[in-house]
Amino acid sequence: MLKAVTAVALLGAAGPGPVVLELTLVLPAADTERSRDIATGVRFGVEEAVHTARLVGAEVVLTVDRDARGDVVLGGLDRTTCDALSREAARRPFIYIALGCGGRASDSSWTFHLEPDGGAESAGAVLWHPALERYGAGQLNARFVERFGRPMSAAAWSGWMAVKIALEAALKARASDPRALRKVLTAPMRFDGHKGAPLSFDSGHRLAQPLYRDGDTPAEIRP
Amino acid sequence: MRASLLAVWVALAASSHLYAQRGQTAYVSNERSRTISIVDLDAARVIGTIPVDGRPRGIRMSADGRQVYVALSDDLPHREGGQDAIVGIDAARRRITGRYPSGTDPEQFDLTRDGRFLYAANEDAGTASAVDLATRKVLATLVVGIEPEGVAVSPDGRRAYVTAETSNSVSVIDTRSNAVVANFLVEARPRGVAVSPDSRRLYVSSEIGGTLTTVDATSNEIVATLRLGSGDGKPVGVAVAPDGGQVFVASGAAGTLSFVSADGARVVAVVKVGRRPWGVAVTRDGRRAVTANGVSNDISIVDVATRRVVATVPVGDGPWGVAIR
Repeated sequence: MLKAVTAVALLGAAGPGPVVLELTLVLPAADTERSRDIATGVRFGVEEAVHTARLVGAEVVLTVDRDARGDVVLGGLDRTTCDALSREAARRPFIYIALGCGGRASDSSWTFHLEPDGGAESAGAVLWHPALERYGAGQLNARFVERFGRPMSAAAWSGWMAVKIALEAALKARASDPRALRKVLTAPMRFDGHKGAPLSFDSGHRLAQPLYRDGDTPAEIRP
Repeated sequence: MRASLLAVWVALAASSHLYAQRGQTAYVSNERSRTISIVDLDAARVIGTIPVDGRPRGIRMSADGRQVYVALSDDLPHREGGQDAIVGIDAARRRITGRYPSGTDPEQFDLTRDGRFLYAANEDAGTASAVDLATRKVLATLVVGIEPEGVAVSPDGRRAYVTAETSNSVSVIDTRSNAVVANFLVEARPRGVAVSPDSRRLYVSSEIGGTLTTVDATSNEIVATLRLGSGDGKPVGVAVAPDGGQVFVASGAAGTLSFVSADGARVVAVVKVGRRPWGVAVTRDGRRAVTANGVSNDISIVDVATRRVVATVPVGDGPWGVAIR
């Protein structure tokens, strides 16, 4: 059983008409802290995407849907959901940003770890920390706290970041169909995750990003 | 009547000529030591230090050279506190003479050439403010992109431009109506912005994109996107030569100053400066560019003609921005 939330942003763009980006979030039905955090991060990301879309003269529509439809899917988290997304990708063309699905990249999927991907260097490391201040992280953490009244966890940051990636890819492509997005995401594209270094997908469609050593004052781990 | 107007014009021209001719001075904001260093650029030495009651970052000189404006913020990030303000410093007396509203954590701003208005980015509020310097009142608070940062007013005074780091956008403000009249997207994390002397071109640095974007200011169309170096330099500060002939971009992490052609299409030269150059300014005669180097705690004075660092001057702790009188 999949739980899905769909966000639709109409993005103003050059060309014959506005680009419509429809995002579908697919998470396990089980209600866990991590799934709630991802959903909150996605919601935050959509709100900021709406603001950016409005800047370029567009209207924005937000809908909720129980079905995992659409051309751009964000989701994963557990094996069942990741496998379901993978099967769906084999059945029809769509783009999915796989949150916490391990290294199962395909032509359709761009993987996005929710925690450091093993290895001695990443022991005790985190992807995000609510105490981060540098590189605009403080501003992002503050906006999240002001909006939701709690710190931005790594899962929430990942949800926010996944929306940002989808949005910026669609804006760059000036389209949101799977073929256009695949082309943009496959080319070297730099994303800003408020980590002071460009985030980009490697040739295996895995998001490469800086890590932090956990603690009261999280320390940056140089790649 | 005509005779008296002519006399005024002659007086203004003479004063302007003297102003251009006299020794040039750089004012450097030091964000950690909370001071403004005054540097004689000919002697290449600090000739004065002004303590300020906050963390100084953005710094601008009034067109007549009489006032230095500095953005100050306090130790309460993301909340407006008592020290959050833009202050005016009398350049001759080296004393704070005015305090202007700024919103939370003011960082960057710019002034109209006539010295009447100030436009500031309010990073946390996601807005830009237009401030009347005479009345010290906020005339307008405008919604711009998420996390607004860089601000530049066109030399003709008609437009103010505000970059926004999270939205990757630039908002265009009509200064007569104080309304946002356009927005457009650039590369990831736009920071600095500068306008050509004829107000026809706009240059935007993108820190994460590693690029300089050149925009036709009439149509707001992007005419060039130039990757600086390998793209890991994180370009921030931007300044345009007084004759509009080239653009200077401080690339923080790379420790370099890039010279870019006026059309934004090519890097003409790259000069190694101090560590983490952030702000950059050009002397009024266009002969020297000055970078504020935040990690090496100094400024680099670069001879524009020879493209060489001619002096390195230690200043305060954490130099951030530079303005030149």
